[in-house]
Amino acid sequence: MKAYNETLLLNEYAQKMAKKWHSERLLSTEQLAEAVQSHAQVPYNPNLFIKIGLFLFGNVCFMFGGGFVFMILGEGGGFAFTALLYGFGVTFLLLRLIKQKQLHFAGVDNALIYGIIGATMPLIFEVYDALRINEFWVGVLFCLPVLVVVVYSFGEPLVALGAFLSGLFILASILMKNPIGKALLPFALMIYAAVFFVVTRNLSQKSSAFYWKLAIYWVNTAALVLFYAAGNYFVVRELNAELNGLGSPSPEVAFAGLFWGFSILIPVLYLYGGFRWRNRTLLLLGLLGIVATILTVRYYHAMLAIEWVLILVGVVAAISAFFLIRSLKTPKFGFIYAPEKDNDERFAIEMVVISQMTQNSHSAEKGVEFGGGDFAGGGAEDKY
Amino acid sequence: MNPLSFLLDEWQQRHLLTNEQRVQLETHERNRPVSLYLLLRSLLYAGILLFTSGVGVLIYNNIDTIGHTALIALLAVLTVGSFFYVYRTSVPFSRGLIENEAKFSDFALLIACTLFLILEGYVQWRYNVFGTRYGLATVLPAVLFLFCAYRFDHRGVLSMGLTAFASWVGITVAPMEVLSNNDFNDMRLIVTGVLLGILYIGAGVASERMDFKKHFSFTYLLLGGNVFFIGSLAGLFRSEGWAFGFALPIAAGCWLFVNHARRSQSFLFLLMAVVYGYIAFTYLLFEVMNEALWAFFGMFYVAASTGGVIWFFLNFKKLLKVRDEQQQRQR
Repeated sequence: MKAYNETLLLNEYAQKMAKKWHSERLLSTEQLAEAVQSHAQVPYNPNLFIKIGLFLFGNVCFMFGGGFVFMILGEGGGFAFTALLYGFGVTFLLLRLIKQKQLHFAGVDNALIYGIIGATMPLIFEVYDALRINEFWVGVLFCLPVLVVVVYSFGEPLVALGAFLSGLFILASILMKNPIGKALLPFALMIYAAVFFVVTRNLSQKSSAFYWKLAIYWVNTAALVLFYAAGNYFVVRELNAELNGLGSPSPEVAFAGLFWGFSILIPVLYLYGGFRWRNRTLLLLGLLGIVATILTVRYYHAMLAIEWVLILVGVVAAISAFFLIRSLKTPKFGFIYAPEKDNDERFAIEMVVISQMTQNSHSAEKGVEFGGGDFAGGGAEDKY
Repeated sequence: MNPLSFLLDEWQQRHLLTNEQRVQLETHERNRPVSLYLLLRSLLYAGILLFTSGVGVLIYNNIDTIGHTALIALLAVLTVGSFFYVYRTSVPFSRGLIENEAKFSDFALLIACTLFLILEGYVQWRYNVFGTRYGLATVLPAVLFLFCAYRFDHRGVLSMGLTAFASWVGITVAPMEVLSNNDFNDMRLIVTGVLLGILYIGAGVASERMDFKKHFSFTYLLLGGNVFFIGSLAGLFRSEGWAFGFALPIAAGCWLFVNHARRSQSFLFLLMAVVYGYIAFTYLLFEVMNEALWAFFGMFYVAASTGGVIWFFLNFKKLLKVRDEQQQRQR
């Protein structure tokens, strides 16, 4: 059962597109008015800071409400039972709230969803405890249905990510039980990631999956990260040493060449994909992957002093950014460098970072600490 | 079928679109250029960060062959050069928001100011120019930054200036460190913090009222508001007996922030007012009520009152008569 009203979500999308096209003069003002009218009802979508407030107070309210319920009911039928009962009560309230206030990820519903999942945990824990099996992954397996049901009915992205990671954990735990499984672990994880990537990518093209759009995007991104990480030489080698108790320095792994190939090729693949599909997420992950690969290379082969690596990479990054910014003033290959609208969120982040770095350089005056380290904190100034 | 064609189908059925318009919209959407604004800017910042860190390490390792004097000279040249670039590309002063065409001018000013801070610290360490007059050493950048912020219209440098000025009076205003870095056991420091907060808030309100660099009020209110509220709360917790001396300013601050949020549609300030106001109110209630009652009512009070706050957040537009977001902000 879908908890949110899907029509409202479609209306929101329709209004957004209509306004965008109107501002680009592709729709007349009458058409905009008509579109807005036929998609009049949209979910309550407050400003980010209101959402933060709703989330904070939603969490506190859930916890203290639970405390209050426990105080009244006591632990009559056992702790797990009361918690479950409270969870059901809150679910009922949440569904009513969503309907009445037309919420969709407004902060308070997210907080209550996490709370409800938490309320089912005591029961799962008691069942797991009663079975007396010392396999942690079985416990995670018991949680998985709860997460899947919640993802299906709410489409909450963080819960979807949690379900993805739970599946990953279960798979890895089972494989680690025997030596062959351990050896195949990187490949199994890469396949797991690839399957999720393909499935989510196909789903994202379907209008029937529109309801889970955000969850699909998050899992898709997580699958891309996992795909790179599972094939990365550093991760494979160090994890191999760790899991088999081989101590440090970690010994060379089998198929080393293959994993070096993955480390180098996957970021390139991501960049190419990002370029072909005009996908910013892939471009960003490709860049981050390159950084990770450089770090990996340097970790095992210290050919260059660290300062020269920094200088080299910095120069390449800054110069390419500089020229791309200049050349993309006019659209090329479907990309453009167009300032996006400033908003309070960005100002707030920027201000916090700048103020922080001024404070740091200021306190550094007492003892000398030069050398850029604290200076260029501006790097984090713009964030996604 | 993707959501876009699904939507266009629906519109076509309702005769909202003509056939050709539908095709036009679909091609437009397929060919819409993707903006790499944030990605490229972050890449630029990251590149410069890495480069400078590398140069820093390099110099650090070779300081014996380079010599401090040469390094200071280099820093000075870079600082002056950056300031000169900013000056060359700047546009005349204006009371409002300045749209500067020069893409890297903003950035150069930020670099120039940071270089100045480093240079000053370095010179002080090496030649002890300021001697023990630490006050002068900290107020100098504050004055310079504030001047630059107004002259070249730069919000980032404004927050640098306000941070530097705050350290001059002995307060840390950097939002992440307001709590950890200030010793709020000291009543004198609390009062200083509160007064500084009031000064900043006042400056923010004034710049808005007098229409003089209106867009600076966000920075003033955010930095000032944080230190004001946290300082006042610390005062409230510490002071015995005259708690109302702090409670009243907090109430006034909340009222001001709620009003400001309403006028300017900056809901960060609404959030601040509600969170800090809630803490102060709950604390006072704790103080006034008797303890035996609390043991029972405490849970209920928190659950019910946070529920009330949630209700407020869900209905604040109606309650505060906030205009629709359509006709908003002319920052």
